[in-house]
Amino acid sequence: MNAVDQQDGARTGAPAGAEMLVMEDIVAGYVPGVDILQGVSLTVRQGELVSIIGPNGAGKSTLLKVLMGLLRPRRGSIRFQGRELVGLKPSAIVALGLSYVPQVRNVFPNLTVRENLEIAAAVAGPGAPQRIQRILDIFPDLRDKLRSKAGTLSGGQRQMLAMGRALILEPKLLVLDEPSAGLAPQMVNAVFQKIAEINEQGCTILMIEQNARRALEMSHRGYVLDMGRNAVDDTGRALLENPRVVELYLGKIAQQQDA
Amino acid sequence: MLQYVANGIVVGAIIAVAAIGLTLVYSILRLTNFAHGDFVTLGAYTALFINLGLGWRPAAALPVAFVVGAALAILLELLVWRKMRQMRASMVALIVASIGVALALRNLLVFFYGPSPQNFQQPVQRATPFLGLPVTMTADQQFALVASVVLVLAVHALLRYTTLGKTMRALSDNTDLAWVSGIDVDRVVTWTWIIGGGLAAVGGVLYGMTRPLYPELGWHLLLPLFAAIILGGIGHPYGAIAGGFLIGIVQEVSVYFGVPVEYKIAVGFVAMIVALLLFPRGLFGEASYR
Ligand SMILES: Nc1ncnc2c1ncn2[C@@H]1O[C@H](COP(=O)(O)OP(=O)(O)O)[C@@H](O)[C@H]1O
Ligand SMILES: [Mg+2]
Repeated sequence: MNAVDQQDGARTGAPAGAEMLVMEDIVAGYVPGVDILQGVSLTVRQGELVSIIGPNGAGKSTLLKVLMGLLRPRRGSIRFQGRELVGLKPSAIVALGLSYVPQVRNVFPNLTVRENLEIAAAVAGPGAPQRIQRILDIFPDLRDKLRSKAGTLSGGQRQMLAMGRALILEPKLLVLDEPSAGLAPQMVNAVFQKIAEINEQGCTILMIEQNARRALEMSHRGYVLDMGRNAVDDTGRALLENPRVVELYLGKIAQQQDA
Repeated sequence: MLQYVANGIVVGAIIAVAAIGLTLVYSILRLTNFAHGDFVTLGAYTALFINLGLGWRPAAALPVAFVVGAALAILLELLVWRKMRQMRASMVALIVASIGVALALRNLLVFFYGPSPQNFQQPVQRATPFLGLPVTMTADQQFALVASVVLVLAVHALLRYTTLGKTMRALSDNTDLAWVSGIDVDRVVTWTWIIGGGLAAVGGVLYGMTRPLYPELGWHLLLPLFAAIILGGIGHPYGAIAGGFLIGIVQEVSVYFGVPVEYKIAVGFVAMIVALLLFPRGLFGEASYR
C-alpha cells in the first residue's frame, strides 16, 4: 500500500496515510481510585507500523485492553476511522477491523490448532477453508501441528498461531502485545520478519515491544509510555537517536541484546 | 445383578443428560448453578401438565419441556446472570443468586401442583426383555435410556464438530480471548443456557417416566448431579456423562448387595470420594491445559 521509506533499517518518515486510530486522553484502571493510565494519547495512521515501548508496569498492556473493549476507560475517547469505540463490546470492535494478539494466554489451549483457526475463520465469514489455507501459507510451521492441542505448542509456534488467529480476520489494524516475549532469539527474528512483511502488505500495525531497539528500527513511529503517561513520541529513528530515550529506555535493553 | 446394572444404566443415563447442562454452564460461566435441579423438576412438571391436561404421552412432551426449560434459562440469563457478569459478581454472589432462583422455582411449582408426589397418567407398562438381554425394562425405561444416549451423542457431536460447540469450548478456555477473537460471548452464553436448561428439563421428563414426581425431586437429584460432574472433572461434559453413568450404576448395584434403598445416594457419594482419591482432578480432569 505505501512505499516505505527505509534507511539503515530505521524508517524515517511515516506513510502519508489518513488518521486511522486516535486515542485521546485515556484514563483507566482496574480498581476504584487507582488510575493506571493517567491521560494517554496516541495516533496511528493508515499503513503505519507504530511501536509502544516503556518499562514494565507502565500501562502498555492496559492501554491495549482499553482499546479492545476489555477494560472501560474512566475518561477519554477512542476513534477508529471516525467511529467511537468506547462502550462497544469487544466483538463489535473486532468487527470494525481491529484484531488483537494479547501478551499472554493468546490461544485457546484445549482446542486443536485447527480448531483455533476454525473459530476465528467462522467469525471472519464464509470461505473458512481458504482462509485457513492462507494462514498456513504465511505460517507453514503450523501445518504439521493442526491436530495438536494449542496448549502443547512451543512458544514460537504458539505466537505464530496467535498471529494467524488474528490475521485470519483480515484486520485493518493489527494490535500486538509483546509478540517476541519469551521466544528464543531465532524465533524473535522470524516473528519480527513476519510483522514487517505483514505491514509491507498494507496491514497497519500497533505493537508493544520489550525488545525496544529492534521494534523502533522497524517502526515508522514510536511512543514511550512511562508511569501511565506519554513520555516521548517521535519517528522510530528519532527515538533511537534521542539521548534521553537511549539512556532511560534503551540502554539496558540494548546491552542485553548485544550480549 | 445384571438387572440392577441395567437399572443403574437407565438412572445413570438420565443423570448424565441432566448433568451435561450443569457442567457446561460451569465451564463457560464459572457458575455453580444450584437452580439446575429445579430445571429438572420444571421439565418433569411441564410434561405432567401436558399429560394431565391434553392426555399426551410423556415422551411426546419432551420437545415442549426442552423449549420451556430453555426459555426460562434465557429469561434468567437476561434478567440475572448477564447483569451479574457485567458487574463482575463474585462466585459466592453467583451461588447465592442461584440458590434464590432455585427456591423461587420450587415454591412456584408447589404453589401450582401441591407438595405431594404425582405420576404420569398412562396405561401400566410391563417390563419386557431389552435387546434380547437377560434384563427387563418397561417401555418408558427403554425410551428413557435410548433418548438419553441419543442426546448425549448429540451433545458430543455439537461440541466436537459444530462452530457453536467449538466456540463454547473456546469460551470455557478463555472468555476474554473469545471476546477479542470477535466472538459475541453473550450470544454463545445464551446458547449454552438453551442447551443446558433444555437438557435439564428433558432429563426431568425422562426421570418422571421412571418414578413419581414431587417438587423437590430436582433438588434431591442435584446431589447426584454434582457428584457426577465432580467425579468426571468439573467443567468437562464427557466427564459428566461418564460420572452420571458411574453414579447411577453404583447406586443401583449397591441395592443388590443389600444396601437399604434410602442409602443408595450415599453410596454414590462414597464412590465419588473413592474415585477422587484415585483421580484428584476427576476422571477427565487431567487432559486440560491452562
Ligand atoms: N488485571 C489487573 N488487575 C489489577 N491490576 C492490574 C491488572 N493488570 C495489570 N495491572 C496493573 O497495572 C499496571 C500496568 O500493567 P500493564 O498494563 O500490564 O503494564 P505493561 O504492559 O506496561 O508492563 C501494573 O501496575 C499492573 O500491576
Ligand atoms: Mg504488558
